[in-house]
Amino acid sequence: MDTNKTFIKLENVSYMYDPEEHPDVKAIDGVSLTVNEGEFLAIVGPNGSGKSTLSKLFNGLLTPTEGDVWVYDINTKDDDHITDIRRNVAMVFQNPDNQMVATIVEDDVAFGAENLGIEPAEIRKRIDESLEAVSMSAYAQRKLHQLSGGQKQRIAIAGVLAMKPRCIIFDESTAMLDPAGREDIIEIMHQLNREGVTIVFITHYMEEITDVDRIVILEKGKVIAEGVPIDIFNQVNMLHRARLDTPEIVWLCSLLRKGGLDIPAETLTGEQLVEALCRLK
Amino acid sequence: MIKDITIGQYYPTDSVLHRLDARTKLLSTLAYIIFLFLVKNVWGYLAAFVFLAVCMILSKIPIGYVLRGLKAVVFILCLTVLINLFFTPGDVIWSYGVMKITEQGARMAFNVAFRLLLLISATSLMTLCTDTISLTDGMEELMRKVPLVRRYAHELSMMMSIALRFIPTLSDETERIMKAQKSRGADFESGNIIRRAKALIPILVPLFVSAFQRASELAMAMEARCYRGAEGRTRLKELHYSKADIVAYCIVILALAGIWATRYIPAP
Repeated sequence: MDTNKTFIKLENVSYMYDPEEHPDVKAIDGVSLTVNEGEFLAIVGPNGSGKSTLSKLFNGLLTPTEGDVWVYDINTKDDDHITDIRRNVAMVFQNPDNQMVATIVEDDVAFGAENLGIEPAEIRKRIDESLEAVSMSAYAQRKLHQLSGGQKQRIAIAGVLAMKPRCIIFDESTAMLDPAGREDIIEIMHQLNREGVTIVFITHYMEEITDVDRIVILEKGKVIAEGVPIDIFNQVNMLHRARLDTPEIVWLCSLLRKGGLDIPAETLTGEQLVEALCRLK
Repeated sequence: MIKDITIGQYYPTDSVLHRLDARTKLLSTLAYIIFLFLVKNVWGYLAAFVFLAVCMILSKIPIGYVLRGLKAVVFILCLTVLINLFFTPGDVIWSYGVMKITEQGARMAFNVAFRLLLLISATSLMTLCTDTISLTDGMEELMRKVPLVRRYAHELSMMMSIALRFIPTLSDETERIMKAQKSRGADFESGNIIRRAKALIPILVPLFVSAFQRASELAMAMEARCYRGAEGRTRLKELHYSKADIVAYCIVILALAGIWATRYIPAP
């Protein structure tokens, strides 16, 4: 791995919510992990595996009880540079309602940029660009509470984009959306990733991460597996142990293989399966 | 219930009032309210009412929408009127058993009713034609001019804008909790007032719990978006006075002078 391209580095990080009373309850337990510049990393784990805690360690919303988190060369424990970290490592949360500050769409999109002390004319420009990027330009003057969940989440992304971050963490940002809204958001993530933004996507839906660069599986605060999607999905036993569902297609493939059909291991999506099946005859 | 509160709910139109600087509207409303308490007789209320009516027409907001804000205060209004009507000592003009109405009481009730009605309509009109951000920015600017309050100007206005932002969210939530409790057999409609008040507890407790959760999540989201208080912060929409604001100030001063002048007209 090219060390120059390391963006965020976690070194043996542990986090305890209550280190004095319950030093043995570790939400994050000795995790070492790197996020590389420009990659699309997915972090999956069952409920209570510590993935939300982990996401908050990336941009200094929480600081590790043990170990260190580095964003470039800045330690997240360094309070003087915390704004530099957060403007580069932005975050979109799960509940769209609880991350909106303003009543009107454009005011909310402006919030992050205003905090960074950017000139009003430049903020205006950034709002237009950000809303354009999430195809919500027509909604600039609308009231936020009249939008659907998926639309609100797109506005949240626009608000983050207006800070021009190099990395965006999506902390279960699709969990409260309907399937259509979920697909939209994932499409936007891929779009941003193609434009060079590093994406860290935290989720527990395995279907959503068949085409990411790398997957990290978290269980009880520990990394239990790490690798490209094909390798991860084909470790059916490990996924089962971690109480994670295999994507339906992968599961179907494994059943077909058991039935004696020759399906290649890299089949992860419906289209690939159709192709593989057609090739059989 | 909460849906009826129009104070703090912005109603966008392209009227003159909407385009005025928030500070102009805030100061004018404040002055108007102060003058309402200086009014001595029916002429004064009439003048104040006419001025407000003109503003309402100028705002291009449907009158019904402004008046809906009054629905929420009808109860308080009736209560104060009744208390004033029956419990003010003075010359009795009507009595039945222990109940008696005095001349002073009737006057007082009339005054209180008009004062409250005009006060609430004026405030809700002001908030209806000022979007939340301008409103809170305006308050922040004005508070900066006041000693002692100055230090907390930004925090207070931020709290205000978040409170306003969460009104629709929490009102939806209240409705959802009510439905959830009703579906489990909770009864909010029958019984006397104490029973009904007690029935509200299963709504308020979950509502508060959720409000606290939301607050903590919001704080985290604001921090993630680099919020550090007023320090180093710019604004998308900067406030600036225009010619229209100067004209508006002049009109308001004239109108208030008019209201003041009614003190010297003998009461009917």
